[in-house]
Amino acid sequence: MRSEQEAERAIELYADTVRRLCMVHLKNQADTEDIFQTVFLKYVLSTVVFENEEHEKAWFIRVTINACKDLLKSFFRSRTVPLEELLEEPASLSDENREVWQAVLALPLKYRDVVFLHYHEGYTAPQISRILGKNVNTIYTLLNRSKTLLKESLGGDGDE
Amino acid sequence: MNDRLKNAFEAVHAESDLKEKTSEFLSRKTQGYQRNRRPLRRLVPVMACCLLVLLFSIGTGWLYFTPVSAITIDINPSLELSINRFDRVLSVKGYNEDGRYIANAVNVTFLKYEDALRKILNDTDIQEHLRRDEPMSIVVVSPDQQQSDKMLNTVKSCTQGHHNVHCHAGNSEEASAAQAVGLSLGKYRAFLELQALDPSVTPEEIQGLTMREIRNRIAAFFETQQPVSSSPDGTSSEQGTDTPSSEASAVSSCEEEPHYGQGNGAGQGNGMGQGNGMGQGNGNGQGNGNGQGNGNGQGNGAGHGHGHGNGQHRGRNAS
Repeated sequence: MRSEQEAERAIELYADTVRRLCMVHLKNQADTEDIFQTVFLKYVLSTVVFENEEHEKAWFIRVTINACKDLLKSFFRSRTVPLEELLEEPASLSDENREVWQAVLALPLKYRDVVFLHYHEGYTAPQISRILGKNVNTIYTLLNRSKTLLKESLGGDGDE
Repeated sequence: MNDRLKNAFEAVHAESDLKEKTSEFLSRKTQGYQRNRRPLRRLVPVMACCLLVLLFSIGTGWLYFTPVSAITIDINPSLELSINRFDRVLSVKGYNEDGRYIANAVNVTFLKYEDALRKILNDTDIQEHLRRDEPMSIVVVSPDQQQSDKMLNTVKSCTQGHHNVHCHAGNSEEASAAQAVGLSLGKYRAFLELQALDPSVTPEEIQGLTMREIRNRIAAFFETQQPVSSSPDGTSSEQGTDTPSSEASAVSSCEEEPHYGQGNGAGQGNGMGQGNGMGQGNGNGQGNGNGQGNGNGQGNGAGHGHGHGNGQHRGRNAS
């Protein structure tokens, strides 16, 4: 079991990433809290030795995505809330950002992780394929399609 | 578009409230990050289960391995089978050299007692003894009357083919008394029988004897105690017919009370006189000749038998 200091450090470092991933997948605050508790408790109890921070971060991403998927699988019907409700939550979002988020959340679920990992975390397709445990070509395809879809919704200005 | 996306993602932060709640949750869930408490607590039900299993197996083992009844077999080899409440043989104890040999040679542990008994009866040594028609004694001891009856019946059915086998039920006091003197129960009973006749007998003497030898000793003792009683009886009863006090004379021959005989004999004396006249009673003639010697005449008669009787017959016929 890890110490309190380690847990606090992990929360400081990775809370934002976990929060963003939660937002990509989930639609309300209660679920997000559940995911936070699940992910960080798993971290505290796990005995995994991380080679470096990158490794640790990848672990958090992987665990958060799995936890989100588990939650959606089990409570999908009962916990689904309309999109509007979600977008009220991060009150600090500007109109510009809100528009982008709406575009991202309008994407099918399978594109959202890839978009987040690529556009925000800056992972390459092979890295994403390792994190998500999918074929590299699949990731390329997902990236291309999501790019096309986002271009359509956000306007096709300045792709790369 | 890249920047817009990046900015939009960047704009989202984990609320401090959310972080605090998570920290609290972790602290609560790990009980202040104490390492050992959780695994220990998790072990409690496991240990409880282990304890239950352990107690259960000890209990069952105790039930299984506690002998409640016994069967002793005596011919020359003396054996005792300890039997548990599930009718299984727990151990075989030999009370003498032969018994110990058979106990080692025949493996009957954990068999049903009837199977064990059959196996022992089929043993070549035992078969040899039975062929020589030696008496075998099987004693069943069980504290429960019902169980004892059931076992006795089973044992009887097992030994049906052998005519010289005697089955009895014993009680536990007897069994412990037998154990105290180091004899098997069948032998102990024979020992008691013999001891009643001859108090000088010791269990050590008995230990080395076969059942047949003990029986022979008992029989021999009876013979020395009660000498040739059957043949004079026959004659004396004939005498009885002759005299008014026939019973008294019959008793006299058995129990050796010559005075009675004499008294009665006096009446007969006459007849005897005749008898003598006949000149048949060789020795008697002399004794009886005087008519008074009747008492003697009878005493001798017991020993001599027919000669005497004939004389009397004559006497009767004459009278």
